[in-house]
Amino acid sequence: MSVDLNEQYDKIFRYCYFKVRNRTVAEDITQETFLRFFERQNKENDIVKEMHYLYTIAGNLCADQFRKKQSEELTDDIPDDKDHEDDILTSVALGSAMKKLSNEERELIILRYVNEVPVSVLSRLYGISRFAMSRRIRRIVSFLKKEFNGEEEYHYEEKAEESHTGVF
Amino acid sequence: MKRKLKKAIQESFDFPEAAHKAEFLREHGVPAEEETRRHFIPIPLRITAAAAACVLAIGLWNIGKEPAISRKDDGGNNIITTDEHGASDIITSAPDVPIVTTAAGSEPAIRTTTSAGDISENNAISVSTAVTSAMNDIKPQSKTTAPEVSQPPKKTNKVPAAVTTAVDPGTVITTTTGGYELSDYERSVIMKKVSLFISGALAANSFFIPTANASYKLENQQYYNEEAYLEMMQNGELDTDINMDGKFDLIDCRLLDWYTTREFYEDTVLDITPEIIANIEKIGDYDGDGEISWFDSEVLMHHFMLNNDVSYDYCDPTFYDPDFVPVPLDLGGLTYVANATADYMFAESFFCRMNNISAGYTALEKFIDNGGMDLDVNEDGKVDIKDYLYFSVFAEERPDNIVLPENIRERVREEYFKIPHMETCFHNVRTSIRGFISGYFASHLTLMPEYFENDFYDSIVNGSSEYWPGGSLKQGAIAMGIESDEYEEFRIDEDLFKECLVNYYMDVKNGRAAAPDVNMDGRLDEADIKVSSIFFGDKVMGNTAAESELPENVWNNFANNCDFSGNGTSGDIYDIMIVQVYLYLTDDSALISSSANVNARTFSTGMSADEVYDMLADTDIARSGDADSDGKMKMNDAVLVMQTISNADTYQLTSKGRFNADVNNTGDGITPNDALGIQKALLGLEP
Repeated sequence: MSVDLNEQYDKIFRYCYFKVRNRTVAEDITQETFLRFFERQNKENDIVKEMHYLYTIAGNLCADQFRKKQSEELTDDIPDDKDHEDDILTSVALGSAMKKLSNEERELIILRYVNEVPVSVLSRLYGISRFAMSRRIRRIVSFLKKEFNGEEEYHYEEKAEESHTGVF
Repeated sequence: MKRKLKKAIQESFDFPEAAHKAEFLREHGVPAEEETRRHFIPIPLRITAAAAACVLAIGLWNIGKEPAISRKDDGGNNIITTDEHGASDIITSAPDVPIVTTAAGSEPAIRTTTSAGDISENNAISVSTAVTSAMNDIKPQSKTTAPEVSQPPKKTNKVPAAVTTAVDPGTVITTTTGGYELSDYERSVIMKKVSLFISGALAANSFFIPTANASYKLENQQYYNEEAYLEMMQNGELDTDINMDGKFDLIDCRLLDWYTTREFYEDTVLDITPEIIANIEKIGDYDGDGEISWFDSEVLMHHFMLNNDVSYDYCDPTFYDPDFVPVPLDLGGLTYVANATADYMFAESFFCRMNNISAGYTALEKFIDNGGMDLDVNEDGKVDIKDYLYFSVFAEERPDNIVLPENIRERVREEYFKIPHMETCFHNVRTSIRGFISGYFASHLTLMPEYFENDFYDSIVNGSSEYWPGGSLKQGAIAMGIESDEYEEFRIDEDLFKECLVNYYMDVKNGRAAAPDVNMDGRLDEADIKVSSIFFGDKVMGNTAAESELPENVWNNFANNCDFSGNGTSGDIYDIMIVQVYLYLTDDSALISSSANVNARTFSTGMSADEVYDMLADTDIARSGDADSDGKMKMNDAVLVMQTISNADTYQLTSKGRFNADVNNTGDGITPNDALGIQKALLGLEP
């Protein structure tokens, strides 16, 4: 059984859009991802491997794009996180909670719950065990749940977030 | 995760649509989305489902009798196979095998087990024949640290250890590293112990975890799906000599890794010939899935790690390319290396994969023992429990709950990041590394009972108990074979539990066993579940019948006469869980109300109703056909099944309904045939 390419196209596009924050570039990367996927994928029949492969290519291409942008010194053109999140987040309450997550945690939430990427694929993408990945996602969701329900106040200082994502 | 929150997350994002999807996919021969959707639910089926729903809805309610649907026989076989699992099993069940410990390096130690009471005597720092662990067991060649020289690849000035591997299947394998030879028997024992250790870790992590302290285990789970291929490699059934030089070494791993990532890292040049590429394509598909992928590369690397004395040297990209200088790149909070080459990625990959299995511990231990890290981070001149606390907390410390003093954090970070790739891989490997650190301290400190208590650490660093350093140290001690796992008896092997449950359920159904009326009140209801929960608490707390809040006769009945799992022990975790789950499976309508009450709560053993039904979805337990879970199978259940298929957006089944309704080809999920099966049963056309 192979992945549904129609479905995956949209999901890979979302993933790329989240990474590069530019619709045109995201679509270019998505198409490039699928071109490479088509070139290589001739005998594959394992959904997990195919999805892992797709996201790996897309992630690498996004990283390349970022490097390219950096080398062209176009970083000023990149909107900040806040604007970007406001573009795609329609729920104020959840948006507020999501902004308190690190980039990687937001990415995980999008991959897991918007793109519905299986934990087995995520664990391979991030190079950790399925159980560690499950625990990590549960921890993020637990935080979101508390924020979303207003049960507990969490304060992610910007400085702390930098420490969380940049150092750890 | 609550469906409400999941739905809220999904609905909260509004990504733009891709503009050129249709034409792009069409150009590459992918059918349009509308076509694929039609295949999802075929039109004839949908018409049939809709028509049947209409016909049934206009007046065929409550037709005929309502026989329970039972198409499967248990065959009368109630044999339950128990298998050994868990880290402690490894310690006690394997034959005595000489093991060379890393502490002293000269004298072989015999495998021993140490009870909790022996801690203070046997675990003083620098004990030369320290208690060996399951992790140590998989590195029998640890006597040597000097890799054997083999043919270096291009751009390489250091060379990896070599293992001579017979290419021809069936040939005796001789593995030589630094003069220490593995016999086939030793290798076989090692593989078995590794397998046991893995299955133990899997069992420990995959099912019911009664306490927070017990939720931690060293991260070895990724290993599990590679076992078969690793054994075949070990037995010589799979050819691992990628470059056909007559031996298996790190170069073979690197060549295969290069092959699987060559599209991305064409800048790296290896000594690779068309013959080698042809050989890779001939032998490299180890899992037989038709493609030579990262998985094949991972298996080969793990095979290397299991047969060699690995170290962090192999994780250093300059080991492969001495001219390589990494250029760090902070990419939106994620740190990358801007000039990553195939060499760099292989080194990093080796590091991550090493930490997925116990090889990561041996490398860390060696790194520390060789002075790679200074564990005395508070610089008080001694390595003690305080230093352990700092390392342990740092690995899990959250930015919203910083407890370590800043100067200590800096020192710990500095030491952690001496490990190659830690700066870029810390997020991915920190859980494993923390486990290894716990194991290291557990095996090198004189352990005191209070060290296993989380609250103890608040007196050293206020608030640190939240990061359960005591539990982590305890699990490290368990993994090292120093401490017994007091929660071992509360772990469940999921497959075994399913088997026990199905057998017991069928026995009760066929009159061969009594229903689990553990409080002996003549009824099977929620009170039995409560009794099982209290009994479970007593077992965890070590209470006796006299100390329990249960009546003594009920407690003794559970302890002596309730071996529902048939494993020879009455009142163990399997029996407790069977009581708690059995109620869900009964089709007795009198129990539905209490079952509904139970649905709303989570079991004391940590399992929700949804999880129960999901877990049991693929079992052979006969289904009642009661799709709406109202206690009776009626024609509206068939209608509901059809409706959920034809109009899934409007009609959904509960987890219990899905379980009940899967009457046809049980275990394959809900299909139109299930609705047909319900109708036939109601019409008396099927037993």
